[in-house]
Amino acid sequence: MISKKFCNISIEGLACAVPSKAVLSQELTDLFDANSVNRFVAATGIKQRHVTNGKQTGSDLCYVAAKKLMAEKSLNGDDIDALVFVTQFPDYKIPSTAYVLQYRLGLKQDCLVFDVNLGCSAFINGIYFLAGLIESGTINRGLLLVGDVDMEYQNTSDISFAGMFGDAGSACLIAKGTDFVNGMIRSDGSGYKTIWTPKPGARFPQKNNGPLFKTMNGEDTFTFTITKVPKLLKEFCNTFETPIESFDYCILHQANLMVLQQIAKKIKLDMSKVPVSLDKYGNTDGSSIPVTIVDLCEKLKKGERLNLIASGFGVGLSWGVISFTVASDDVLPMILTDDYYKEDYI
Amino acid sequence: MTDNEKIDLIAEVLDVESSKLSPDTVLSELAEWDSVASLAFIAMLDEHFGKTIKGAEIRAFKTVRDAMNVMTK
Repeated sequence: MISKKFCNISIEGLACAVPSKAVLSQELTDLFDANSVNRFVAATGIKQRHVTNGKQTGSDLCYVAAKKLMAEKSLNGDDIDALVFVTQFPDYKIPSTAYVLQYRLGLKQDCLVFDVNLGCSAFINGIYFLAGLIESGTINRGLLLVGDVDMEYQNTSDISFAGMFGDAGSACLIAKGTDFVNGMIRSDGSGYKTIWTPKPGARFPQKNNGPLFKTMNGEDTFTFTITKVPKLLKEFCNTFETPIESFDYCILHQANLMVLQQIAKKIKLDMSKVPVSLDKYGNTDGSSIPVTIVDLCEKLKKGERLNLIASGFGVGLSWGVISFTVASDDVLPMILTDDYYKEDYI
Repeated sequence: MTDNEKIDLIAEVLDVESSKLSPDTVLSELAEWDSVASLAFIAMLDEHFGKTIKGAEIRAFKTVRDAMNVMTK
C-alpha cells in the first residue's frame, strides 16, 4: 500500500503566477453557438481563464512564482537542495526544463534536479516525492514547481478543450520542520489512453499525420474520477484516522464544477468546504490545487493556520491524496505577469 | 423503477421537459444530447443505480430506450 505519514516536514510557503491576459468564456461565442457556450459555463463553472501571451511557458510562470517566494522567505540558491519541475509541456525536448530553472533561479550545483511528466495529480505526487527525500535525510529543503501553458485550447474544434484550460505556474517550498504530511498515491497504467498525446514521440515520430493535440475520453475520465477519488479520500481518512470533517478545507483538482460537486456529494462534504477557483482561472492542470489555495487565502483573514486535505487526479491514470497544514500568511497573493525568458534559438 | 421514472431522470440529465421524451426519441436529434449530457448521465447512473459505464457505450446509444436499458441495478 503506497501511503505514508512523513514526520517533521513543513510547507514553508506557496506562490502562484498566471499570465496577465484573461479571457472570458463568453468570448467563445465567436467560435460556438451561444446555447453551447451557456451549457458549457453552467456545467464546468468556468467563467474566465488566464492564458499565455504567446511567449510565456509553464516554466516562466513557475520562475516568477519561485523568485517571489524565495525573496519573501529570504532564501537564496544555496538554501535549496532539490528542484522538481512537474509539467506536461516542457520548454524543450532535451534537456529537462528543471535544469534551466535551476540556472535561472541561481540554485547551487549541490542540488538534485529533475522533471516529472504528470498532469492533474502533479502537486500531490510532487509533495510526496519531496517529503520522502526530506524524511530520509537526503535533502533539507525542496522546491516543487508545477506549471503548464496548456496548448490544448488551440484545439478549437471542441468547446471542452477550447474553453477548459487556463495557464498557471506554482512554487511550493517544503522543508524539514515541525509539522507532518500524510500521503496516499495510486496509479493505473491500464488507462494510459484515457488522456493522451501520442505524438510526436519516439513511438510515433511522424508529425504530419493526425492531430498533435491531447485527446481525452471525457466520459471515461469522468467515471474514473467520480469512482476512484471519493473511494481514495475515504480510505485516506480511515487509514490516517482523520475524519474528512476534521479538515478546514478539501482542495480538489479543478477539473470542472460537475466533478467537484459529484466528489463532494459522495464524500458527504458541503461545497462550502470545497473551494472553487476554476470560475476565475479555469482548469489549470497540475497547478490547480496550489492556485485554489492561493485563491482561498486571498479570501481569508491573515494569521490563519489551515489544515488541508487535497486530491489530484488525471492523466496516467494517476490519483492521490495528501494532507498538510499551511499558514495563510505563507501563501502569497496571486501574481499576474507578462514575463518570459528571452533567448535566441541557435 | 418504472419507465416513466427513468424518462424523468433522463429528462433531468438533458435539462428538458419529460413530455419532450419518449422511449423512441432519437438522441442525436436533441441539441441537448452533448458531452455535458454524457457526464450528467454517468453521474446519474452512479448515483441512482450504483454502476459505471464506458464512454463508448454511451456514444452507441441511438434512442432514449437504449439509455433506459442500462438503467438497472
